[in-house]
Amino acid sequence: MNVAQKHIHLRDLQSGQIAKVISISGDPREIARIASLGLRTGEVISITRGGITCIIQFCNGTRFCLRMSSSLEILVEVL
Amino acid sequence: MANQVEVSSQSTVVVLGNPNAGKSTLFNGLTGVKQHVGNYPGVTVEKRNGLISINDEQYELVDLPGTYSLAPNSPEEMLAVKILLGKPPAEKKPDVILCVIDASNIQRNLFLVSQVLELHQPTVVAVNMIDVAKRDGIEIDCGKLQQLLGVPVVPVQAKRREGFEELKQAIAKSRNRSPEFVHDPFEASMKDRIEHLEATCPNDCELKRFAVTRMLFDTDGFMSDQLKAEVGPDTLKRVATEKLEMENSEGAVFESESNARYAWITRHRDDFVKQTGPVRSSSITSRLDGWLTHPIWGLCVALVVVVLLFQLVFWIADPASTMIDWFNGTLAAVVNSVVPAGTLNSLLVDGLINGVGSVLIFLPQILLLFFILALLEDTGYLARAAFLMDRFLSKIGLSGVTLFPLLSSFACAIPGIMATRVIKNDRERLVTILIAPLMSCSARLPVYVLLIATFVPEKSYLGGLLGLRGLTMLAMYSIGIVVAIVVAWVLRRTFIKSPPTSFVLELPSYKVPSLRNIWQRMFDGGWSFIRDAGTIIVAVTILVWAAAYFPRINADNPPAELANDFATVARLEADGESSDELELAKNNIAAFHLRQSYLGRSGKLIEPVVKPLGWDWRIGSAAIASFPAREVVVSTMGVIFGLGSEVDEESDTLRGQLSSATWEGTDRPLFTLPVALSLMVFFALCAQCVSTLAVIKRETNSWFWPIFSFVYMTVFAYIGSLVTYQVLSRFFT
Repeated sequence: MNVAQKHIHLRDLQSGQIAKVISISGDPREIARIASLGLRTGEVISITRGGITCIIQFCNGTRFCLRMSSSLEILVEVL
Repeated sequence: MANQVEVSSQSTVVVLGNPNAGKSTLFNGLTGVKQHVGNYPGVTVEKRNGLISINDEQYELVDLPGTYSLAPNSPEEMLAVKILLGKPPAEKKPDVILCVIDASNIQRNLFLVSQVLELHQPTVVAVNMIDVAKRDGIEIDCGKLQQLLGVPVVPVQAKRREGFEELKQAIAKSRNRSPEFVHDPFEASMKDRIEHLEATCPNDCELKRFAVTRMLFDTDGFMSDQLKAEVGPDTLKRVATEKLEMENSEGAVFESESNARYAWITRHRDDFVKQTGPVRSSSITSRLDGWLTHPIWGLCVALVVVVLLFQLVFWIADPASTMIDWFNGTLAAVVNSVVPAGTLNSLLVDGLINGVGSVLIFLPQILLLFFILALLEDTGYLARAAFLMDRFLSKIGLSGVTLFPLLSSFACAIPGIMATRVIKNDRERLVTILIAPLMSCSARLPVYVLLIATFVPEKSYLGGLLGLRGLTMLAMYSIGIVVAIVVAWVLRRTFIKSPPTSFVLELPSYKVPSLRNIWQRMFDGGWSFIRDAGTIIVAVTILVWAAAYFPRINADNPPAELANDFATVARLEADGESSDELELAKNNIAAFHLRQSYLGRSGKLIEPVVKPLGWDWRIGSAAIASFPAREVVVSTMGVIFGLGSEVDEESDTLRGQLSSATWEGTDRPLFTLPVALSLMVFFALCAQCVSTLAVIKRETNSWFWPIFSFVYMTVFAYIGSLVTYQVLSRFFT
């Protein structure tokens, strides 16, 4: 499997999937905002509810609901 | 009532922290009733300050809006940063910064602390929710954390008010004491870059480290704007050059700050965090979320919550009205026994007491709504409901959090608009405020009931399952919703457009709510309504009273058509009799008064404008009279049609009078089905509520938006009413 196939958009993750954030790009303000909340490159996350508006859980149990705008792109690697 | 806090030259302590870190609980616990809620001058952000006494000295405590970072994203966060820097609206720099952090989520909370420490100002860190962390198998060594941060670290349990005395002493001791060392979370190359930039700052710049760091990671120019005066043009230019260099060489510059700070936290985490037991992190939350965020079961629960909220606010309207009626009646009786009948009596009874009643009538609903919203927010449920509704509301440019304000508006737009404070995005909040009055509130119901029962035939379909009257009522409620959807969609794509931003909302762990917090929120909501909207409502009510009261007829020389009525009143009152004849004569006089009052004359003046809607001047006058409050339309119609103001929507006499009313000078019926529907559509869409407009003014801190609401809703109401009448009059007479 090549890299392009391995990395998918965060919005394509399904409920219950665990993934590692590979890259975050787009509007600097949005990047800084989600990064301050802990969603950064290298972070391992799980999706507790998938969909356009999804729920992301971090390893420490913190949960966020997230609906990404077109100005933000997050690539993840499914673990 | 909130105690007015005398703010003098005492030391100021600002309370800063992440949302959901327990900041407000700590603030409420420390200040008790000695707090005051107001607005920062020129902005809509609420200012909460209070007094605490430490060693017989008074300190002013200021609760700043919750923020995750000092790279602000919303007006509230920008304000928090300005106050930290001592910029207007703050009068001076705070004497102590009190950072409240959540022990159960210490890494993310330390991110903000790490930024604050760069200010090198007196700082105290309060580690809250130690008990929750312990339950999750996490123990914080506050002594070790203090060594790492170089500022006092105090464990507290804000909900139980534990650790407050130690915290107060730490604040007092820190007042004139800067952190023990310069905070430095960055690795070598970034550190060099920052120190190099620091060296270019003028010598008198007090915030060198903080200024250059914040400007280096500034994403929208806000921090550069705030700090350019301190650092000077040379440093500003050098920062821009360094940023460009970083972007070219290091790629994602805006992630580098968080990477550095989180790396620093992770490096030291084991020094101050001990895992004392098995990780039980959010097991209750996980289980509850399994149900409450489920696409089907979650929606069912949300629906039940919403129906309960709506019903409770709706149900309380009735007893509240009875209570206010009693209040008005008692006060009016007192005034009548002291002040003789005449202008002063009418001003006091019909103007002032009525105006105060108009303010108080909404208070129970507002208090209840704030109680429920605070309860839902404090337990953590509100964020889940927002998640569930987001997928639907995002299609019209809103987010899930707008659900509760909009639903509350079905009961009353005033608490609904005040509930928009839960919406963090400023523009989204504004659109919600502007569409909230389109939801059919309880005050529209009497108009619908009166006109539907009088003019809509009682037909049923599907074996009695559906009735025409019920469907008409549903149509009136739906028309507001449809127009609200269209308005929101248009506004979010035109005038109140905002760049596409992601919707991010923390879903805090479920917890038992703090009654003190809930009580405080409920109280603050009620008080700000009385203080800010109440005054406008009373003033407008008195103005409308004057328009309906003046000019007066000279009772000694009445017009010919009223001579008999005046004579009847004089005769029967002298005999001390109370009869139908006396009532009829009094009602005729009142109807004549209203017809020739400024209000009645205005109705005649606008008759050419309302005629295409199927209305005559009498309906026009009733509509004008109901602009301050739509619920008065039924009693105004009662007066205009000679039945007095005591009639209600259930009155058979009024229904009969409306059915038999004709255009003046003809036998053509005035009220037909198209006229009744045209009037109902007008009421469904028009902004006939001065209290709502006053609250929009209060919440937006601008006169433009209430005027905008009034104009756009009146235009929509007129067009809707015109189309309804013109189309339906082709089919019905």
